[in-house]
Amino acid sequence: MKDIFVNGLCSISPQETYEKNSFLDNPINYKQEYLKVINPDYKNFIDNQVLRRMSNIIRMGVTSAKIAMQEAEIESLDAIIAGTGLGCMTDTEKFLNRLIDNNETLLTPTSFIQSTHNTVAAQIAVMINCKKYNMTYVNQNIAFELALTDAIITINEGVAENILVGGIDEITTENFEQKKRISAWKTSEIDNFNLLNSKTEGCLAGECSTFAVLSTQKTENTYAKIIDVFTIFKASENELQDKLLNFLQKYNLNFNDIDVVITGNNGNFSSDKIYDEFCSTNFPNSTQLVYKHLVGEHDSASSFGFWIAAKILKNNIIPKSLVYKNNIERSIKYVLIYNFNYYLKYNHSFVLMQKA
Amino acid sequence: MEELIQKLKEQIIEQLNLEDVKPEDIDENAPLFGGGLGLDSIDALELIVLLEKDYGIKIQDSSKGKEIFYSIKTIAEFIKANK
Repeated sequence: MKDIFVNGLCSISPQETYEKNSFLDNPINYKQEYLKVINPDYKNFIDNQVLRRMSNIIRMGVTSAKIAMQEAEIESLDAIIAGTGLGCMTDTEKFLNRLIDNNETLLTPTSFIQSTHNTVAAQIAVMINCKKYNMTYVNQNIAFELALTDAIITINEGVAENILVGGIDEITTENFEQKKRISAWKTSEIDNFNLLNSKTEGCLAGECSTFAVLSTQKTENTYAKIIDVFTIFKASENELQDKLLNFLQKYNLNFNDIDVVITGNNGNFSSDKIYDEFCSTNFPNSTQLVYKHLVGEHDSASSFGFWIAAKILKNNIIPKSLVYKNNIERSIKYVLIYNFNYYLKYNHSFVLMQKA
Repeated sequence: MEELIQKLKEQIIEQLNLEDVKPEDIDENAPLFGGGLGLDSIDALELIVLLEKDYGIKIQDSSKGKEIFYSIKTIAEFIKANK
């Protein structure tokens, strides 16, 4: 396996995260049904003529990609790979609503063109004139992990040295209301700081866009090294334990070597219990961190976990707002990000990262 | 006619998401494409839909498109002549 480094990183989220040096110093307390991102001034990053056609998910995707590239001090890429659960929902809803309102006639082109899942990766390519490999994975909660896997494979095949990888999802009122009908969310406004004390089902919805530049060369800007990604569709606790151990042993590691585990707890009682039991059994000596109370649940939320892992590995600092269990003070060498589909309890994913 | 021009300016700003543009910023005689507003072919499609949806006017002869969509004033004149 080739060494793969995270050399540029940006996340636009419901917290103040898009500035290079910000790292959840003053997390924002929300009391609402779902969390929307804090938007930077997009005019500083995207030409006005182009900006007017972009819905917010495209704006945040393109901008976070641009900031990540600026950080990595890189202007051209060998591949752009994105992961999203639902893609450009605002434009999709706009297009479908017009289809109904206008009785399947008089459809306007802009929302149709921009409604496809791969619009963000495509717009980034257009803006930087990148005509190379461009791929978008649409695979529920493992979309970002599959994008990462593709990047790792592409780099190891020797066909790419610098790849932009990201996860993007947006929450819209309509989508929120639809998922409310299947009890995906908490039934009323909730204080996000108290979310993880909840004893009921449902979680807090959110959105974010995280992009990273992965490179084969370590630089002064390097955040961390990616070791590997492991996903499994369905597994019992014992199977999951065995498969994860096999995965770690491939890199001569054991459960005890993991300094920090970042889990996808989101306030949904039955799934949080699975994370808690899995961590108490397998990682009793590791620090357990959580993040979905800060950015909300969405299909590519684990990309925010990736952003946290990279920041921690670079600075060896853990923001207090993330600590869930065992804040063990030690030099952090290995971080594992664990996530699964909280609603259907499948699609388990593990991203293993190392200090560069 | 003045009322129609004003309404068209507002509709175009909304339909094409012309952020930071106010109706008074648009010169009704200025070319819409390749000029100040910098509209392109996708905007032309949006304008065709706008004419059909809001004014019930279908452009039968596509070769006249350039002439009709030259400026706000030419669009207003086309609407007046065909409504």
